[in-house]
Amino acid sequence: MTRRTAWFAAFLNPTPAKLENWLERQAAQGWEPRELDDMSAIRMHLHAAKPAKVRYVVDPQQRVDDSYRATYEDAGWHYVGELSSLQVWNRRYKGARPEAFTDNTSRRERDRRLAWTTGVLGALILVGAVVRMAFGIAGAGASSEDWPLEAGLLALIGLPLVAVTVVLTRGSGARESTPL
Amino acid sequence: MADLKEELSETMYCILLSLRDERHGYGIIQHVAEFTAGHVQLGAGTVYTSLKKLERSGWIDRTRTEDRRHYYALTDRGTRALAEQTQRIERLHTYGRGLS
Repeated sequence: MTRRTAWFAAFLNPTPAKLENWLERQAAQGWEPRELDDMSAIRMHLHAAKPAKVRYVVDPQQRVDDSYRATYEDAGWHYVGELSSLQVWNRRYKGARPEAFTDNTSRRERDRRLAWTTGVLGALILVGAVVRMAFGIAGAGASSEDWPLEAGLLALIGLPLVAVTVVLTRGSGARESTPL
Repeated sequence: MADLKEELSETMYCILLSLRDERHGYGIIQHVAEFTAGHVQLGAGTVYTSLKKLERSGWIDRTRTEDRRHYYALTDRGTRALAEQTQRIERLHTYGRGLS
């Protein structure tokens, strides 16, 4: 087998640190993504490779410029791709595991950037679920009998996003850096 | 800028020190490792995030872009902030020495 598909990897490993660890475990077992796109959050293709120690970095950045990529590349990182605004980098290494985020402040801000996205998205989806439920109970709309399923599905998507937001916010708060 | 002063970390302080001369992201990483004798190793993600923050605060400014790399240097405001922080650290050091 030279290729396999991992389903919902980004959802099952919803924080940057968890996704990095998961990608690193795959690399250690000889599976690596060659490129990433928005669909990779749902369906990620992993290609067979020589098992290796590979450090992955997941950096939530909505907009990046050439200078962003140059800074990482100059520091020895290889760009893997963008996965729903998550910029993914990797680097083969021996010895100590390299870091792209070397202080608590920048790690906390990285989590907050992702928390902002998941929080807004989760809240909007939950509002959609409540609105659908309200319209369903009121009997409004052409398919008013479908509201439990539709509202339930929206809640099923929205609640994990809100839960991830809470984890990211709490996790980052616990690692406050000490000012100089 | 009061917020940034209050939370100024070792990383931020070293970046400000490095930007007394014009440098790009990786240039800062190299320079900081050099003048701290390897004690402060900055990662690319940390440097990029910190530069954006310092630029927004008006402490540094982009001077030019060459070969995809933005170069930055301290502004007058950043120079004053660096001097204030250095004085603060020196005061703390003096307090510490007084107790030892």
